[in-house]
Amino acid sequence: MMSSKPTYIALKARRFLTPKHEHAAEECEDAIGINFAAHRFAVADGATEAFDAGNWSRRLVQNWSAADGLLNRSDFWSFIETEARAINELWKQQQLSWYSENKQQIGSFAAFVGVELEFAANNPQWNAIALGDSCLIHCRGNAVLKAFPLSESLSFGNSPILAPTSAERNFQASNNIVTASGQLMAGDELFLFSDAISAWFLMLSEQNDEETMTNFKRVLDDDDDAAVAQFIEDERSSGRLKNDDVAIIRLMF
Amino acid sequence: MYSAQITRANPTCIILLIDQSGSMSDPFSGDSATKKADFVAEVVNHTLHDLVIRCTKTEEVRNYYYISIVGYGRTVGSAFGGPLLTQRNLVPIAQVADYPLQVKSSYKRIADGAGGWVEIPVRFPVWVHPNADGKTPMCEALNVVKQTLDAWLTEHPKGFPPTVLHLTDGESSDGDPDYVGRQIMSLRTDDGPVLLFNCHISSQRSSKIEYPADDSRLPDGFARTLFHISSPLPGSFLAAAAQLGVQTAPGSRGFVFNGDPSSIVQFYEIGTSLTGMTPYRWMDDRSESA
Repeated sequence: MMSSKPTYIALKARRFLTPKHEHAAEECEDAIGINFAAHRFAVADGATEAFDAGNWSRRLVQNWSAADGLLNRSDFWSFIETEARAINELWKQQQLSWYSENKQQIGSFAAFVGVELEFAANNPQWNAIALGDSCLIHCRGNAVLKAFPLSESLSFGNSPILAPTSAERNFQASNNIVTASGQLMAGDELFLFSDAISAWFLMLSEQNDEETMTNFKRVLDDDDDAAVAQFIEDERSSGRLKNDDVAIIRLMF
Repeated sequence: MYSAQITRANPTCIILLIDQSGSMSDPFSGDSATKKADFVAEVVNHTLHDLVIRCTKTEEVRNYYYISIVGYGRTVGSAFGGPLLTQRNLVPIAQVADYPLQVKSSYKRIADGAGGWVEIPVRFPVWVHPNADGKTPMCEALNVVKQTLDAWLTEHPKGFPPTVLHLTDGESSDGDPDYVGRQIMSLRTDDGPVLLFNCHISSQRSSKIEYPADDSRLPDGFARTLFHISSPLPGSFLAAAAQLGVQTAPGSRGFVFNGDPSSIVQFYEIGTSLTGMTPYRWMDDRSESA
């Protein structure tokens, strides 16, 4: 648990990352980037069927969090192009089997959502950017004020437009970059989620399942990742949560 | 049904059953340059390539699929070539990846994103060579498939049901396949019955019938037999067909009659789409030879 005291509103951050059921931690293709000093937070979700998806998603969140700006579509697309060139250069240095080489030519893809918090003004706010189906969800109590870029649990499909490593061949992806912002009050929470946990959380909200939502937040309150992992496993076993990697950043104000 | 997640701990089985009788050396109607056996071997090799690529995670191929290729003609048995895979009934996909007969080098053209094209080197593996000899012992071949499935289902009772993709150009020479076909369709896992899909291809210039929901338009008894031993397409397969622009209807069977080359490509693309995976359109990637 990390904490700081910006201008006048307190901030606590909690992160959690776990792979699919029966997968090793190093097989997790979701990634979390946190730059607490700059109040920049990001989650990315490497496409399961893509090449080197874990490294692509980790690269995106780490370098976006460490940077400044990148909160408009043009700058963000330039960032993706730069990162894509860099990871392609790394891949070219490797001797690959025929199947890895052919897979690498298809490239990698990742969903991304990043948020920067702004405390300087009298009205603290968040500014976010996203491509794909990783989501930011702004809550006040158990009410969802804003879910972005997807806002309904049934909106999560299998073929979202994602950040590509072959950016020059997937320019149309840039048209799907979206931005959003919102005002923060003391007591608010922001969640950054990868897709499966986003869909699950929105389903709870749609079903007014406040008990499960409260239990989820309660288990996140403690610094006990094993307890969170067990909660996730239980929800997967119930069939309510899809068996997928899970990335969570919780920001409490 | 048909919703079990395919994982290394819970893999599925895909059986490609290929007619290799003498008539497969005939060309397709209207295309005297292409023998049916040559085209089918090419599509099977691309299908295996696609399945391997789907399971490739950087430098590892995960065993989500176990593959069987059964050929029937003068003999009935594994159609895998090469010393390491031949005679093997069921091969984990990682071994399929590691032991092709040969890997051909070529180039393919891809869009450069700026309105032009670039050529990039590609390597295409080959596992199956064309073969066309003998009669059409379809019943014996389906019995081999059934034995493989019996063994698989004993060990994997909860997984995504096995898929059998059967391609033939003619009638059975060793009896009526209806009985053994229905036996195969009665096998199941906890997630649903085994999927048996049939694609009949023809050298005749006859109109093709693709994925019918009933047998009213079928021309003869043989066509109706194949229809009745073809499974209805589950929802995810119907969605894959829609992505490929193939018309289906609720209740459509995994069945093609008098198919042409494009029918074969689509049959394998739809038949290996499994749990809603996006079909890999390898025809878009066909190489320009180096």
